[in-house]
Amino acid sequence: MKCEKCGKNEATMYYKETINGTTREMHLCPECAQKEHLGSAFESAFQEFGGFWSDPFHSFLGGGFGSLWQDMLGTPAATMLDTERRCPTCGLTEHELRQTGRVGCPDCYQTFADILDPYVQKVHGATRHIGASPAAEPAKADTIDTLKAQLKTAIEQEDYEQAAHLRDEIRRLEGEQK
Amino acid sequence: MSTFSITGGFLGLAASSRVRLARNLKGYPFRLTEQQHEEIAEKIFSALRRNPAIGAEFEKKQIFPHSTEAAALVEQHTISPELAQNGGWLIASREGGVAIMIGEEDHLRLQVMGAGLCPKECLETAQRVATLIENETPFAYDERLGYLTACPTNVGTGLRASVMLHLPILTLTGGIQQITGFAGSRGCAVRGAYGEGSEAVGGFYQISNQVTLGASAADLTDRLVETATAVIDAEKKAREQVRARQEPQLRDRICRAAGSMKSAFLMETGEAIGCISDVLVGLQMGYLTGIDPQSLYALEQAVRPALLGGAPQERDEKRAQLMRNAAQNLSFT
Repeated sequence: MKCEKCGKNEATMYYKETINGTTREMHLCPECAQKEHLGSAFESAFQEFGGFWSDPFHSFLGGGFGSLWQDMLGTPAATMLDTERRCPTCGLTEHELRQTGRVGCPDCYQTFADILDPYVQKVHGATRHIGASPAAEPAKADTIDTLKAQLKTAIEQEDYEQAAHLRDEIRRLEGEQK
Repeated sequence: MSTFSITGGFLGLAASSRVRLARNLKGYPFRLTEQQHEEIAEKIFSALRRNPAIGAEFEKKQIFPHSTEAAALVEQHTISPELAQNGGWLIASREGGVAIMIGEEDHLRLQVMGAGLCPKECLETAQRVATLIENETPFAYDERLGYLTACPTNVGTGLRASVMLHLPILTLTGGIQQITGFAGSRGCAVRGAYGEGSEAVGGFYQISNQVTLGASAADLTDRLVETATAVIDAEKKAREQVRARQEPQLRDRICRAAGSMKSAFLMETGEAIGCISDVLVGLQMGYLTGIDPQSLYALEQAVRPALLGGAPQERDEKRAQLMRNAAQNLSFT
């Protein structure tokens, strides 16, 4: 994945912040992260938490719960900065992927395509799936046309079981339209 | 006779065939909680139960980690060692043949087994069952990479088709290394009979497809059948060579094995499997008669420790008794 700011360098840093309930995510290269002063954001977040844990009663006694929450949500105190790339869906890190060789969720194949695609090519000597595919999702507007195309392919490939299934599905959808 | 009973050719040398499809349900991460395993098992089970033709065939049961039942299911090749270790769920046809494991590294591993050389027939059944499930609960699928799996080595078709071959003479004559090389050049891997990392006991080997992407499941299976057939021919040739050069020794070994099988009162697992292996060769080469290979393959599984149960000496007695019972009609020609 390329850096979202400069669009040139490889994004190696994943940045996520939640301010007043609004979450912002960025994939950045180290240079752009530096320019955005994210390094210092991380430091200040760490200090805020450090202060909180080392002297918890101060906050409670000083301003009560209200101001504590305000502090945490309103300032970069709630910022999470991870220098490592993560899958946005399941949170698997690049390090975990490299260590285990297992992906965490279907979306990891997209997130870590730059690592996985060459690996898949090496293992299988191929990059494209051939053969059985699931029937198209019924929600699509062009479902029936897609199914008809698949039916044609299935008949050409003499996959009559799949063809019969597709025929039934087309009939069902056509029935719904009437 | 079971609905899913599949029998292929080369029964004397091809013990069994197995096809496994790895699938994951859309909308879940690959690693699931115990509760999600149960949820998915229920989804799959109810999807199958709704089918009027085969629904009643299936039953669902929980697999408890490290249980005796789990170990026995591994020895029957019904579940993988990994599932026995981690625990999960098994949805299987009552008479055997189809087993769906939930709790492996992929959400489900759909397995179909048959006797002899029949991976194509197993694949047809596996795809039929997979489609039934998929119609109810879509699988994680990508236009480019096909069916998505936890390990990139299974992506695409998610297919692992394998044939268990009995190759004792190639093992004796040191031909297995050549076979491994040959199979590798055809995109197939050769392993000891009990899956990855296990040794080949009694000359039983599994040959399976190595890649899962870039060719259709049917093509991968065809290639496996071609490779297995060539390996079977090599074993047959090796047997004839041994017969030509060392017939007395060969015959002596086979007849001794038959003698032990007919008359021993205590027998350890290794010896039992060795005897079964030699008797199988004797039947194929015409030195023995009176027992069919399928009952010997069944015996080969029945004599394994977890299936027998009990203390070691008790097991050795039970094992010898099973062997004697099976050999009742075994005779020398």
